[in-house]
Parts: sequence; structure tokens; C-alpha cells
Amino acid sequence: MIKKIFLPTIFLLLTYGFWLSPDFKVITAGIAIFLFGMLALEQGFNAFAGGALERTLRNSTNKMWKSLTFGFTAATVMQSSSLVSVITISFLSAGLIGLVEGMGIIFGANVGSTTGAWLIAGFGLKVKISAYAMPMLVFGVIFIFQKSKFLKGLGYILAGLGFLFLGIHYMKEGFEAFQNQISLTDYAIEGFGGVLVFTLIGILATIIMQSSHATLVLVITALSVHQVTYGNALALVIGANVGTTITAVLGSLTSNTDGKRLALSDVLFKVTAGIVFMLAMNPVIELVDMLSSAIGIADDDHTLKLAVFHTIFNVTGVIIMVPFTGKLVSFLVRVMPTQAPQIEKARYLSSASAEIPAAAIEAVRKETVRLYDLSVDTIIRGLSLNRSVLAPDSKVEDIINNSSKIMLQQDIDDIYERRIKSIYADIVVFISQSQSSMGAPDHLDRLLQLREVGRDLVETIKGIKHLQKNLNIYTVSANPDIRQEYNNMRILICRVLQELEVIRTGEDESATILSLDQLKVEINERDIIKTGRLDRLIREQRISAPMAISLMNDSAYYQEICQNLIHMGGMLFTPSDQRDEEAENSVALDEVEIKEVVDEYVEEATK
Amino acid sequence: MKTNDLLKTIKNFIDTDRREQITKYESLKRLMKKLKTKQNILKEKAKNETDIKSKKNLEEKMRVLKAQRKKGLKLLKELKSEIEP
Repeated sequence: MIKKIFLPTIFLLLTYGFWLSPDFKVITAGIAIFLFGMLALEQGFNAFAGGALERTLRNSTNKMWKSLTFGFTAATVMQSSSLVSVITISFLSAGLIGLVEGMGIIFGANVGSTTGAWLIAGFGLKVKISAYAMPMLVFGVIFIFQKSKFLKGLGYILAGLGFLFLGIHYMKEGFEAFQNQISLTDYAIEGFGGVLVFTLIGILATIIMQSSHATLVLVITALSVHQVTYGNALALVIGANVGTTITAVLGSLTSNTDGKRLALSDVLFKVTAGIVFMLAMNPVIELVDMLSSAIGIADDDHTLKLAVFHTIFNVTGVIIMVPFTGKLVSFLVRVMPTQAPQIEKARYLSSASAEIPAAAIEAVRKETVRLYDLSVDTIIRGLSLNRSVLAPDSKVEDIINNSSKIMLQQDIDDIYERRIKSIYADIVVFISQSQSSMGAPDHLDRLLQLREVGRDLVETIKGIKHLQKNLNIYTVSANPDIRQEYNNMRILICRVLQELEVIRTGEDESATILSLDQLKVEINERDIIKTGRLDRLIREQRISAPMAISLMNDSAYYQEICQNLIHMGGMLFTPSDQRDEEAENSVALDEVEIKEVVDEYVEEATK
Repeated sequence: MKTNDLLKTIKNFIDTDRREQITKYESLKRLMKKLKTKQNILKEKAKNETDIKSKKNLEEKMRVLKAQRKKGLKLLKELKSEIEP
């Protein structure tokens, strides 16, 4: 339920925000571009995986001090610890570095970003990262168009970085109005309460502005004109440091578990240092004063002292965290375990039942029925329909002919691997294990029959996968003839499934496996090649040659799907009484008899 | 019970193959009866059906049913001749 309303709610809120404020539009566009940049970066790094980049990175991050230096240098050059964090997360997601190396880079970057505070406070200057964005995008896109894998990868990295810069640029631009509006003078609070409140303000401002530098500019400006007390300004810096982790958290949203762990380690780094500094604010102020006078900063030069504080904050963070890196990694792995892909396992097959023939057969039957259910779900979704279409009273033909909706497609390969193949594998193993305990030949035959059912289902799923591609194209085609042909395939597959459902429930006594004979006849009667319908469509130029080829191929797939389902149904949904089953099988029509019925029909139709 | 009938019952009991055939025969007979009922229902439905498409569909079902019954009746006849001495 929550999952269903989550996306529409987000869209509604965003639309409302766009309507409310043009600044909001710019900010959200900035976030979107930023995230897109992340994706491009990951793609770019993937192109280099196993190559030179991996070796360079390994060599420059194989020891903690090297990782710290790498992070420090990168953040100093790029003037953004958030950006380095985001890039590191994409390194990690691409498997180029490990979690420990990633942590080293991020911790180093946190210290490296403090150089920005020195620049702002000392020179009032700041390298404008947005200025890099445009050339990077241009060169990046040109490289992406190149055939060479190396240049392509480089192109993605450049374009990714360009998009990141551009995204940050837009976010900042959007928040310029906010920056001018936030006034801190009215809220000066002394004591620990002040530290707490201003830390929170700092966190909030940085989260909103997506940049600790922006917050620092704000704080330094406010401090220089005495709009905020020195103590409160320090608390704001703590807040800015904690709040800046949001960029890494945002960046990790599109990454794997390791990326998320790294983002969490960044949060822990900043929060731990933040708490320590909040609690020990007075001794820290004394330390700042002491260090400032030692390096020749004037007592009243609060802006530079702020830079000193910022540096001490991050260096202390590193000193606190580095000795515990190993423990931190095991903690993160425990808190965020790697999500294993959900693989369906057999429910009814226990080793205990393998020894008793009747129990073993019943367990395999139940499991095969489950496999059938999962397969039907996959088939129905593959046909862009809902399972309700299989209700006994549903008019399949009308529903399919009147629907032109293509559902969001599932990855059939993935479903096959996770749900179908895994269960079928369990069934096959179980049958092999219980074969020795089957006394009567009848029992063994039944087990082997059920194994065949599984194989038919697997073949059906594969057929649906082949059919799905063209089905999605042609069921919404503007050409009514091709559309109808593909709808006919959907209709007949559904009719087979519908009949199987009726037989399975046993509600209609007259519906037995013999009812499937009628469908066999229908499949033959509707054969697009045998009936000459395909030739007619080509001759009358109602379908193109590629369409005709698709139809020929897919018609074979769909017939195979129907035949497999019918064959499977005949074995799975047999009557409980063995005599009745034998009687039904003896009356069921074979291929020759089916052909006779079809010929009789064709003869009558041509008369 | 007449002596002949009694002998027949005992013979049936002793002869497992024959007993098997009889059970088969009875199951098939039951199925034929079921199919006949189904055929009658379909006939009735087809008679009252106004929609051409549905009518054609019912007729098709009847044609298959007819072929199945034909096959079944032939088998029934064979089984009967095997059972009866």
C-alpha cells in the first residue's frame, strides 16, 4: 500500500513545489542532474574496472595513510568533501576499492575540505566548481561518442563530473534567495542550549543548501558583521559538518550496500566528532585560541579562528575514527547486511517425506502445483495482463481485444533464475533422491511425470520470454492486422490457462483433461501458416515483410507454449482416481485424430 | 444366486486380468455417460445461443466431444467383447 502511494505522493509534492516556487524547481533540477551525474560516473568507472584505474587506485589507497592523503588531496583540488565522498561511493559501487580504503578517502576528504574554510576566511575566495562543469560536459559527450572503450569510459567520467558540478551549481543558485533571507542575529543564544540550537540550524541549512561551504560563507559573513556570536558560529560549523553528509547519503541511494555503508561511516564520523565537540565546547575554544595565537592569528580575527576550529574538528574526527576502522567495518556490515537476491525455495519437499512413496509423491505434486502457480503469474504478466483474466466467467477475447495497455515489463530471465529454476532444481533433486524408495513402478512413473510437468513449465517460460519482445511492440501497433494476430496469440494462451484453472479447481465436473482436446483443435485451426492467413496478409500488403517474419517465428513460439501447457495440464491435473485417469487418457484424442477433426472443420468451412 | 452367476463371480474374482478389464470397462462406461450428459448440455446451449461466435465455439466443442465419444464407444465395445466369454 505504502509502496503504491509513495511515488504518486512524491510526484504530487514536487508538482506542488514547482508551482509554488521557481527556486524549488531549480533546486530539484539540480538534485536530478546531480544524481544523473552519479550514474554516469559509475558507468565510466565500470569501463576502467580491471584496468589501469584499478591499479592506480589500489596503489594509492592500499594503506590507510595513502587513502587519507588521496582523499585530502582530492578534496583540496575539488574544494568539496561531498563531491569526493560521492565519487568514492561510486568507486566502491563499481568494486574498484574496498570499504576500508573508501573510509580512508572520505576521512581524508573531510580534512581536505577544511582548506576551503581557510580560503573563504582568509581570501574570501572560492574555486567555483560550476565553471568546470560546461567544458567537462562538452568534452565528456564527445568522448562518449567515440568507439574506443577507454575514451568512452573517460567520456562518462567527465560528463558525470560535469553533471555533478552542474547539479551542485543549480542547487546553490536555487538557494541563493534562501541564503539572503536567513538572518541569525535574532536567535543568538548563550550556553549549551545555544550550541544545540545552532548546531541544528547548521545541519538544516547545510542539508537544504547541499553544501557546507555555503553554510560556512553564511557563518563567516554573519560573524564578520557581528550578526552571530563566536560561540554560536562554532556550533553552526559543527552543524555544517554534520549536515554535509547528506550529499554522500543522497549519492549512496543509487549505489550498492557497500556504498551505503560508506555513506553511513561518513555520517558516523561527523556525528561522533559533532557530539564530542558539542560536549567539550569550552576546552575546544581554548585549544583554538591557543593554536591561533601560536600560528599568529589575531585574537579578534574570529573568521580565521573559525577555519582553525573547522580543521581541528575534522582532524579530531580522523584521530577518533582511524584506530577503530576495523571495528567500524564489522559494525557497518552487521547493521547493513548484503541483501541476497530473494531466491524462492521449495516449501513442501522435506527429506523425511522422500522415504515414504505416497508422501513423496504428494509433496512433489504440491510443489509442482506451486511451480505452476508461479509460472502462470509470470506468463500472465509477460502477456501484459492481470491474473483476474483467468476467472472462469471472464471474457478473455473481449478483455484482450479492448486493452492496449502494456504493463511495466518484468525481467523474465531474473524471475526464471530466482523463482522458477530454483524450485524446479529442488524438485529434480528431491525426485532423484526419492527414486530408490519408490517400490511400485506406478509410483516412480508418477514422480517422473511430475518432473516432466516442471520441464514443460520451464519451456513455457522460455517461450514467453521470446514472445514478449514482439508482443510488446505489436499489441500497441497502429496496424490493426498485426495487432489482431498478436492478440489472438494472447487470447489462446489465456484460454488454455483459463481451461486449466477450471480443471484444477474441479468445480465444473464436466471439465476434465479431455476439455483440453478442444483447445488442441483450436490451435491447429487457427494456425496462421496452415490456414493461409499469413500469405493472404502479405499478398494484400496488410503487413510488412519484417512483420510477417516476426509472425512466423512467434506463431511457432506461441504454439509451443500452448502445447507445453496442455501437455503439462494433462499430467498435473489428472483425476484422483487412477481408473478414471486411465479412462480419460484412453479417450483423449491423439495427433492423428485431432487432425481428422480439423480437416473435417476445414472441409465444412470451405463448402 | 443361480449357479451360473455364482460361477461367473468366482471366476471374475480369481482371474485378476479379467477383474482389471471389468474395472476398466466400468470406468469407461461412467466416463461415456458423463460425456453424453455434457454433449446434451452443449447441444441445448448451442440451440439457445444467439451470438454467432459463441454458437460456433459450442459447435466446435461438440465436434471434439463427438470424436472422443466415438473413440470411447469403440473401446467400450472391445472391452465388452474381451470380458464376455
